[in-house]
Amino acid sequence: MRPQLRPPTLQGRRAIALVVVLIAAFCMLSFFAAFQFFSHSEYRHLERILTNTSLDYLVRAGLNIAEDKLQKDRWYGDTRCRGSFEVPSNLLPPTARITIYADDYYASDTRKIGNKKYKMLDHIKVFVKASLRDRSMYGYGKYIMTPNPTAWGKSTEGIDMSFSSLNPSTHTFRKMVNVKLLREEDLEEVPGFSRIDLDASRKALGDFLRKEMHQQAFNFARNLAISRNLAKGIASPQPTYSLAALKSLLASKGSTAGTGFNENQLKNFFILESMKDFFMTTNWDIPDSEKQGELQKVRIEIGHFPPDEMTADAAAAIRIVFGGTAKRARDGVDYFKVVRAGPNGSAFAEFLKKRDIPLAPDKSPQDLQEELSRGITDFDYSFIWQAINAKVGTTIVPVYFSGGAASFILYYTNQGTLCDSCTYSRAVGPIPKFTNYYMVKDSIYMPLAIVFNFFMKFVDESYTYFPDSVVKDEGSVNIPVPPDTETGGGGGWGGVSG
Amino acid sequence: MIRLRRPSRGFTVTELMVGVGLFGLLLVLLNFALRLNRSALNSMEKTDLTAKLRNSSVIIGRALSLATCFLYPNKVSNDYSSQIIFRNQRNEVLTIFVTDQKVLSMYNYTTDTMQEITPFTMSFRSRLAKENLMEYQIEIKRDQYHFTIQNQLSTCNTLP
Repeated sequence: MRPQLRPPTLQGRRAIALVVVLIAAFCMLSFFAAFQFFSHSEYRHLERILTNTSLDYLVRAGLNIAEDKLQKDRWYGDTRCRGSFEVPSNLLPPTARITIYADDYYASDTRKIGNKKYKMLDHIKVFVKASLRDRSMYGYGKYIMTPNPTAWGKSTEGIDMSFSSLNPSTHTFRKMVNVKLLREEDLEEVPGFSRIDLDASRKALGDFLRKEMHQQAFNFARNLAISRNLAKGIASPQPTYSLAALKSLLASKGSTAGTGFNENQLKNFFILESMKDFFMTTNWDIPDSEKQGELQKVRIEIGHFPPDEMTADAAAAIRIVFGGTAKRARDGVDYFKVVRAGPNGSAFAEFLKKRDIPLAPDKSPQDLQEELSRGITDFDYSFIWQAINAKVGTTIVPVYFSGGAASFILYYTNQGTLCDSCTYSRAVGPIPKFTNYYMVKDSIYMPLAIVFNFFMKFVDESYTYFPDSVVKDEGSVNIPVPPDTETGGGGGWGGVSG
Repeated sequence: MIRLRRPSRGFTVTELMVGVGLFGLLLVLLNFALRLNRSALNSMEKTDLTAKLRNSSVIIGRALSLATCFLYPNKVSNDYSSQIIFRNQRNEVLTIFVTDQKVLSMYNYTTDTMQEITPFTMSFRSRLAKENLMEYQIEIKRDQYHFTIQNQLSTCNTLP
């Protein structure tokens, strides 16, 4: 039997229905696919935001852990000058990882104590890498301390402030400063950086971030005046501002024009201004009223120095040789016994005023540190003398030089009678003698130079270096030196000093 | 036998019923799709707004957490201000504020650069909750959606 063919019209209608259904199904599928794609991309966007937020917190946690560990000691420091630490995973969310790297930076100058020269630790650069899922973020902080510890050993506590022993100092100021968060994209701009776990890469990153310090000091100087004005408050603040209105509001509080200071001046300005507000603790987050109270307790004192006891003979001898009266150090001019907070602000602000130190001295911070941290408490004079064919009692001594200043005066004023001639040489004076200033509060008594050192570390690294070798051995950081040999004057001359 | 011929044009009642049924089904599906679409658009808007809010909180949080000094407000208080003025880690002076066009923005006075953070901002409020602990609230509104985010954070780069 021949199969019956369906009428062509029915076939056409079915074909149309099929097409309609297919199109409808395609539209529906497209819609669901688009919706799915959108949801997925929104989810990824949200996930990225959440990951970034979590990474911020992880990096900051890493820096806090590093600071906490360094407050105890340099955990890597027995035989190494850098090390890393992996934060245990049980303390972290799943898939999160925090690795901390710490690099010692040594001071260029060594410190001589006893018969050894010691390399000193200047600061520790801390880097943190936090990873979560497929993303990473980096953190940087500079752990500074004053007085400096020795490079040898693990301690981050400074050594005895008198530098006469290696005993720990009674007080050490320590703090993590210059904290930064760095994204992976930021590190792409750093020349010489490839991986954070490589020493050379971290050194390159440290060098790169050093430039930031200059910018920081520059902006501190240019923005200090406006900052102080803004801190006094804003009259009738508005809930919204146009940009022009905001600019005008800020302009009324001060400009951010450059100061015209050179690099040294910028660094010095930062250091001096910070020291004016320093109240001898590193916990700076206290109410302003309390801060002012603490600042009132700070004073600047000159250290102990022996009284100027020049004998009358020595003074007369100096008058003969130097042609005038001996210069004496004067309280209130050459040195200041005690300086307290006053009308110019804190004790340090008063101290700068009394010493006529400009706002931003144009000299290296190290030179300023030396100038600022000591006062002249005496002037020394010295010379040597000899009398030829001197009558000593009943005998004639061909070359006589004993008896100090009184003897010199006797023979010098009686040349021709008591001796053929009396001459002096190597006359040196007045040579200022210095005594260190101290910043004092309650039981803390710290040389001003050491306090200065703390703030210098915020902005100046020119006197520090990254040790090449990761391994440190005692002989290379504690260097034996031969004992000082006394050098005296030549024979046949007597010395007078006062 | 007379053979009834089916008409060559027109539809049978069954075909019509099936057609109407299919059409109805399509309408129902279309309606469902439209509703889904509207709901997706709403969700998109809502997600977009919350994402914007979260993002702005990340931007503000990161900037404030590395500040060296809060300039305004700088006294611990229960009263809120409408701006935050601070010095960032590079000691540049920055302001977070709401513009006349209701855009939460961050203006760097030192470099004279502006960053728009969040549109549709109804208000921005801040106060120093404790020494070195800044609290801020961002309130955004778009159509029927209204969100507020609040955050508190401390800074780790303060100077004496």
